[in-house]
Amino acid sequence: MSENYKFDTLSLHAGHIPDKETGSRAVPIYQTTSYVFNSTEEAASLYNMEVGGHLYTRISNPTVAALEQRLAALEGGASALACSSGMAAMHLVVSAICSSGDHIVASSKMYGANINLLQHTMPRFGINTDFVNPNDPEEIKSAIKPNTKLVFGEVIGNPGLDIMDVPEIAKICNTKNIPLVLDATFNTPYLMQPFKHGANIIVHSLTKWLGGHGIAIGGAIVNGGNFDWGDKDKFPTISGPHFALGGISFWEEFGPSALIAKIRAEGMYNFGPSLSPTNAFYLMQGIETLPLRMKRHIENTHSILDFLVNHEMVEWVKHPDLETHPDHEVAKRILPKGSGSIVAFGIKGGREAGKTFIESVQLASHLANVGDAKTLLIHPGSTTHSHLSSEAMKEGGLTDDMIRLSVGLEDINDITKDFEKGFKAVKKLNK
Amino acid sequence: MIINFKGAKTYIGTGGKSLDINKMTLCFLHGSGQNHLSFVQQARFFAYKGYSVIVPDMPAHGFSDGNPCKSIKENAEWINDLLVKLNLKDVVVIGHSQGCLVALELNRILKNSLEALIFVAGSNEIPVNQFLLDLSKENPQKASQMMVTWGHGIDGDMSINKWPGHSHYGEGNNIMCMNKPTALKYDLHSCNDYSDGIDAAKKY
Repeated sequence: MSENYKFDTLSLHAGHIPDKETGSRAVPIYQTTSYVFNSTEEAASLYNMEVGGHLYTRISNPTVAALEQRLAALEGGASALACSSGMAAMHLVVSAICSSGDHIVASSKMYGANINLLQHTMPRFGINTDFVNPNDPEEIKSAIKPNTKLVFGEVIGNPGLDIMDVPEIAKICNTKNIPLVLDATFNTPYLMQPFKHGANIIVHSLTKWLGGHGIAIGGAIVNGGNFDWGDKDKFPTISGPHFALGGISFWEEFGPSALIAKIRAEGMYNFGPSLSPTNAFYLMQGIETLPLRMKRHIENTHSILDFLVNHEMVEWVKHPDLETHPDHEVAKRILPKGSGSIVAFGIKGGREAGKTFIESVQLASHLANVGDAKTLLIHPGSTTHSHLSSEAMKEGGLTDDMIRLSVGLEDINDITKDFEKGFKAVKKLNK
Repeated sequence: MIINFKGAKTYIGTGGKSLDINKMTLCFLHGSGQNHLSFVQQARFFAYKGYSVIVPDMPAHGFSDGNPCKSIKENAEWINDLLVKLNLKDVVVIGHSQGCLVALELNRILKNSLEALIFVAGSNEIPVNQFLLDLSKENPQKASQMMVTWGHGIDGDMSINKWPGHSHYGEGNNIMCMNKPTALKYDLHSCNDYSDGIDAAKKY
């Protein structure tokens, strides 16, 4: 991020100046698959990476590029790449850095799809992962092997809300010359910018708070530009010769942006998880109000925490901004503006109580998403994890009374009033 | 390519093509606190058009080890020795900012035998603000950040980068951070102390 403009201004303007030809103030939606070459020589120059530009929308697109530059500016990174989803972003990073025989150290307390990718899918391709406690830097340190190529975790874990001590873990990774890759979806750059704490690569699900309106799926990789990929034996895919482009070394030719150049030339080219220009536009519309929304998300979250902690029907409440949370001190240090707007809580009465609560509220939406402007709820015990016993859920860090709440931007009194309806129904059930 | 030159690992960008000493060579000289990455597009463009291209990382810059040169003359002598080592004869030198001063001094050493000198944002002297000189010594990272912010201007975060998704500021700042911490200080002092540009430009 430059020193010229502050975060709120960059949220609105980064990556776009009004179109010279049409004067369009908004970022135009370049809904095109391809781009006319002025000559065969120009086409060859683009293919050879002699000049920058757009070849085909699977690789890059002007609307998507505006979003990418905006994300790079907000995170203070060297470069960014937007793709079809957060999971696509995660897969692109792993496949760009790792090859068969390589190893990953990852947090054991992450979003299920992140765990599935590393635990079940990547081993089929010879890439194995050891899962560790994200709150224990020593455990992370001792899990690193000679063939470890990256350390991965979520700044704020989903759904357990564990907070990684990013500066401590970054120090370990730095000493071992291994990139620290963080999923920063739950914090967004508004609450915390991981590069300032020593992280090297960020992945985002743009679908959540960055987009913020539940209308478009998207993901992104932001590259800090602060990692030395120069060890050709350790990182041959980034610093060694590429199979095409005359054996280009992305590290030698693109330095701080080597990872993004590699992913664009291989991941986007060969796998093709591109983001549609229209969805890029929707996501940018969301980012324009990110600072305003995040402020309100946090205000409402703190109000809801007060409400829940003091409610007679609530058994327990979990959020890193509460002193009772085991990572509260880390959260205060690295997330001083607040630790996001996901709250987990348990209702007295167990699984049936959770189910009744969810079915009795009206304003809060019952669905499988987070980070929408609207308040969202899900009860894993009766939905995503309904097939599991209470004991099996506990093993996964979940309880059968647990409600996952994504606090929205509605009037706080309307949210609490809505919740009272749910609690009233549970009370009847408990009688 | 990486060579051992004057006892230090020295990186020389060649635009993605092998160096052919029988062809005319375009030699790009980077500016203060920069390295070969400032000229990636130009290097690749001309290399793919059939020229031989070299973009050396000066000592302590980019991927090159060694101690930074402490004057423009020292930089020029280093480049001259490099051209001799690589056995390059028909050479066009393209300098950017500080690279222009180095090119002028190289012209003096080589007595007008270069094919051409091309300046990008150059001058015969480059005085440097005292605050920046001091900051480059005390906090080179901050000094780099200020130079990148100033260099790209107020709209640097808004204007579209030809490389999709690349940030002018973020990338520029990290390019400067790849150099050894003392490199910027010596570069800026070398520029500030240099006053022989007019004389060096004379025909010999």
